[in-house]
Amino acid sequence: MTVNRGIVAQIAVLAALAVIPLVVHNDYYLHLLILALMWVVIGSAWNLLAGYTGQVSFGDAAFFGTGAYTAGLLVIHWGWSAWWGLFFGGIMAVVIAFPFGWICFRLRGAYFALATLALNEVLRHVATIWESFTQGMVGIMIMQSYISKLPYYYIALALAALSIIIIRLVMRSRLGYYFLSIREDQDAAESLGVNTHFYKMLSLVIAAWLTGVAGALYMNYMGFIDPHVVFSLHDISIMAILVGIVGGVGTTYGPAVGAFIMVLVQEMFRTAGFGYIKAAAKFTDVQFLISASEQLTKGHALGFGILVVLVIRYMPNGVVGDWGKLMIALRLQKTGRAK
Amino acid sequence: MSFFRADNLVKHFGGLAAVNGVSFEVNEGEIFGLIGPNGSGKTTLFNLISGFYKPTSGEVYFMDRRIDGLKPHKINRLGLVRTFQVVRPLKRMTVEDNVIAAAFAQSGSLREARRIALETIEFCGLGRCKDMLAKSLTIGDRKRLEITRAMATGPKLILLDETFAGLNPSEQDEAIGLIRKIKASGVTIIIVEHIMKVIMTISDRVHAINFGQTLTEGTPSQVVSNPGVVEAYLGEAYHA
Repeated sequence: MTVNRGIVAQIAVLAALAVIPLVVHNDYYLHLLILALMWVVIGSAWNLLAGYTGQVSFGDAAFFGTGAYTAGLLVIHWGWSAWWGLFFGGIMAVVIAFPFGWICFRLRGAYFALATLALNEVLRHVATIWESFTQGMVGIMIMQSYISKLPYYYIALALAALSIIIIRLVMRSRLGYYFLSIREDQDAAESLGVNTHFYKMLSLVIAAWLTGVAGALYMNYMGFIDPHVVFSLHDISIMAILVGIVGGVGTTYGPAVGAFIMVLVQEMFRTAGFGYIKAAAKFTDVQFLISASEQLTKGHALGFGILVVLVIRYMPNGVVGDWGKLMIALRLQKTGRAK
Repeated sequence: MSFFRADNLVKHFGGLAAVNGVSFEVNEGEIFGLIGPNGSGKTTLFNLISGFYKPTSGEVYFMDRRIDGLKPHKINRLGLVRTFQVVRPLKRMTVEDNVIAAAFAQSGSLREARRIALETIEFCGLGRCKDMLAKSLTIGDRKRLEITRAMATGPKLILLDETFAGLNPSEQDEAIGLIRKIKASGVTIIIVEHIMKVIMTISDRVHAINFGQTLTEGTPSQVVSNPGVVEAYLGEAYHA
């Protein structure tokens, strides 16, 4: 019964998301939705590796950027369509991930996380310095295939759905149980016959592939990338972690919820309260509001930091993981007010 | 031709020889006790056998295959499984999921793994808490889970590392019953134990070590009457 209800809910959400662009014609909102759907993919991938397998990555941008650059380089060097990037971008991300994991999964816990951070930095420098191949800081600009946002929206939606389906299938199989047991205790898993190195590699490869595909989508959609955008530590790697943590580490739908929240929060900071504070400042001419809107735009990294502290303090399992707790808190407040 | 054989095992940690030339054989179907005072090298010996350490020298044979130096998961697949002295439950998973993860060693399908897991849980008497999170179990049940998980991988030889430590007398009696049941199901057991009452009751043969070296080997009664063992391990109280 509950299973049926779950399936119904999922189909309803998917259907709603499929219908939205037919109702909402505002390009700005569609743009935000496309970004959110892209983050669903990246967040789910991060969650598979970090949330379920326990191997925290600080360097998801390495795979994201590899995917994006693969798509871009196919265009400028070989004149292929950037859409091939969706196929080859994922593969190239795996090509990067494989030797990296082979060597660095000897490291455990924080040391592995630091290695992913290093991979992120190394690749960004490669993309910056190797100008003859990557055009360095000039970046890569391509012609987008569509002016309308609709095709991108549906591709992003399909990828987001695909990544959640993959996570669900994986977590209901031997793979999922092995990932969890590695997260909980590597030595115990090893003694129960789990080839921990192999399964960590597998988890990394799936995550890298999904992240690479998301990167290729980004290239196609935005039409412009440079090393500081797609190999960005705080805009990609840290954002991926935030999506996972805010939504709920180790939950199927956590990253999906986290993606929508984080894209909203990011946009809120970028535009200083969706432009409302700025408008209010202009209208009232209060000095405080003017400086507040400026500081808010500059301070988004600080804002993210505060958000993480709050989430970890009050909802360590994220919005989805602590949903029950959240609801109880809200209900208590309501009944309290009624009295 | 022997079921299990450790041949002149040596393990050095820097200058310290934790295990220094220990050899023994285990026959199929028996309960083989391993005793020795604290720090005598019992757990190191287990780590050598189960693949967590590589011996400095010496060899381990299991069903005529040399297994020293193999990775633990490979050794597990051959049918040799160990439990940990300090229990290592997969804390944020339910008891059932803990055992299912182990049962995947026997079958790739979730349905089949769950069937094996539930069977093993019943066999080991953990049925009443199968839906609990492993971290919320009492120490007695955690030890039981450790054994259940090991059994779910379908072993031929199981290494039990101080399974009785921290159990109260009635839990000890239950655990003795469980170990006898495991033996009756055809699984061979090597057991490390401090509690003499236990080791004397259930072991077919006992091997005593101290300072990483063999003191003696024989039936429980032979071993307890060995003066070296009495001096090193049992102390004056047991002597009297």
